[in-house]
Amino acid sequence: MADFVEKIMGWLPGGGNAVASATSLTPVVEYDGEDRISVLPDDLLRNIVSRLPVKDAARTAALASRWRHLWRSTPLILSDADLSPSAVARVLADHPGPFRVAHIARCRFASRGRELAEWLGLLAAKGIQDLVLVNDEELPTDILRCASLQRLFLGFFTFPDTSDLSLRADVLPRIQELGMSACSISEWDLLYMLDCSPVLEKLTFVFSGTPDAFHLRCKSLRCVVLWCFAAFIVDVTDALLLERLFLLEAPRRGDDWSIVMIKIACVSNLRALGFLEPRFHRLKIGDNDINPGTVCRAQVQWFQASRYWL
Amino acid sequence: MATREAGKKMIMLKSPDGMEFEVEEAVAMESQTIRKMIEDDCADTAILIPNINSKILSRVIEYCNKHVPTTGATGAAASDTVAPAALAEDLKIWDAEFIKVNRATRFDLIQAASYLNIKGLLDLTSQTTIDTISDNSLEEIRSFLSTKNDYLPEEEQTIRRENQWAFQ
Repeated sequence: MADFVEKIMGWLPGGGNAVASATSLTPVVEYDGEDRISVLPDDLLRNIVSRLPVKDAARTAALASRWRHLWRSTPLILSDADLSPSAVARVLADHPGPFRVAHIARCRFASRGRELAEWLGLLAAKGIQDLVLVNDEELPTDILRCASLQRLFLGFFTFPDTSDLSLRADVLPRIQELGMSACSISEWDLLYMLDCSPVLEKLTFVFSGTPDAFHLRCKSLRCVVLWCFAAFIVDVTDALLLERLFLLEAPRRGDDWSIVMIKIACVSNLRALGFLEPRFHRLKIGDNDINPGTVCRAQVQWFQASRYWL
Repeated sequence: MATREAGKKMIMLKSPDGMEFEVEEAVAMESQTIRKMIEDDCADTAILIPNINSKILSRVIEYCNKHVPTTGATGAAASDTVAPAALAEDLKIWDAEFIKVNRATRFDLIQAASYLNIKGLLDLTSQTTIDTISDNSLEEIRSFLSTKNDYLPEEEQTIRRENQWAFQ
């Protein structure tokens, strides 16, 4: 199980560690006694502060008065990789925002949900743009109030029940990319999400408990990745802009009931579709059944799995 | 506008100390600042780059020359024979050599990269400072950066208390 968890963490942006590690360069130690860094303008110092791990970034305030205000006036980039939950709570409460990136993947909560809901409130209030959130519990509906979110990656969550919620324009109106690893979401909740997200372009499900019928009804979607998914029907009814649909490692059973039906209403923008495995996939485009050997006039690049189980 | 080779438009860059550098337009356009000047047709004659002396400007041009995407006849041949990963690795090694400069030059390069808006060069020149700050004590960082602690002891204690989580 631990291996599986680490594998999922590895798929998340940043590999479970938010601060991108550029090539580490050995500092050239050369003392000329002159404080050259303090004369740099604020925006260059903020650029440096923004790329430090959050602990190091916050500590710079104590270096000298020149640095005092810099971390708090730099958009927050937070990874909880080496922070306790109480430290994460302090950062979220103390930093005035805006929050650019938060990877909260290692914290485990004692209070099951309440703390996470509070954090989501702070993330929403301070304009979080990119969020990676990993936890083995039900995701609070507060996530839907993060109106500034552009990219959201979830790991191990159960998506909140949206059946009592009405469609609202302020539910994730700016989200462009949504990824779920080892999550579960119902058909209703997926449709709710898609209906609420007018600019969603990329949708990825990895090892997630998808609905049996996976209806893609979203006018802005351009790329969909379903990896180790459990759906029996992938129905692309209203996704005119869809350019790429990737189906990776569908059900491994060979019996009839595990056939995956892929129905695509319109392929006017579709450029890539695959990997198709004739034993398990049935493909229907518009009213036409597509079988191996069917001549295709559309400019779609088909990928047929030749070594499907590798 | 000077032209050196057929099909390659050349741009003249001038430093405030009077040096002139003739570079390919594609190389100069690694700088988003210069790109904007060229696209806005503000670059018919030589472009004066204020505040960047000839020593630093020549290093910046050296960086841009190395990092400009290879296109055209020679570029195509190079990318046909060398895998992208190998090219990236080669660039990394080149960058690591390039940034072995003294601190004065490095901070001048940071400012030049910022003014000329060359993201890769700004990242590269800032990284040494980031490595210096990461995982070191405040005293060590101040020593590395020659930064004087101008706080009164009680002021520093207050700031440490405000961000106590970061000092644990």
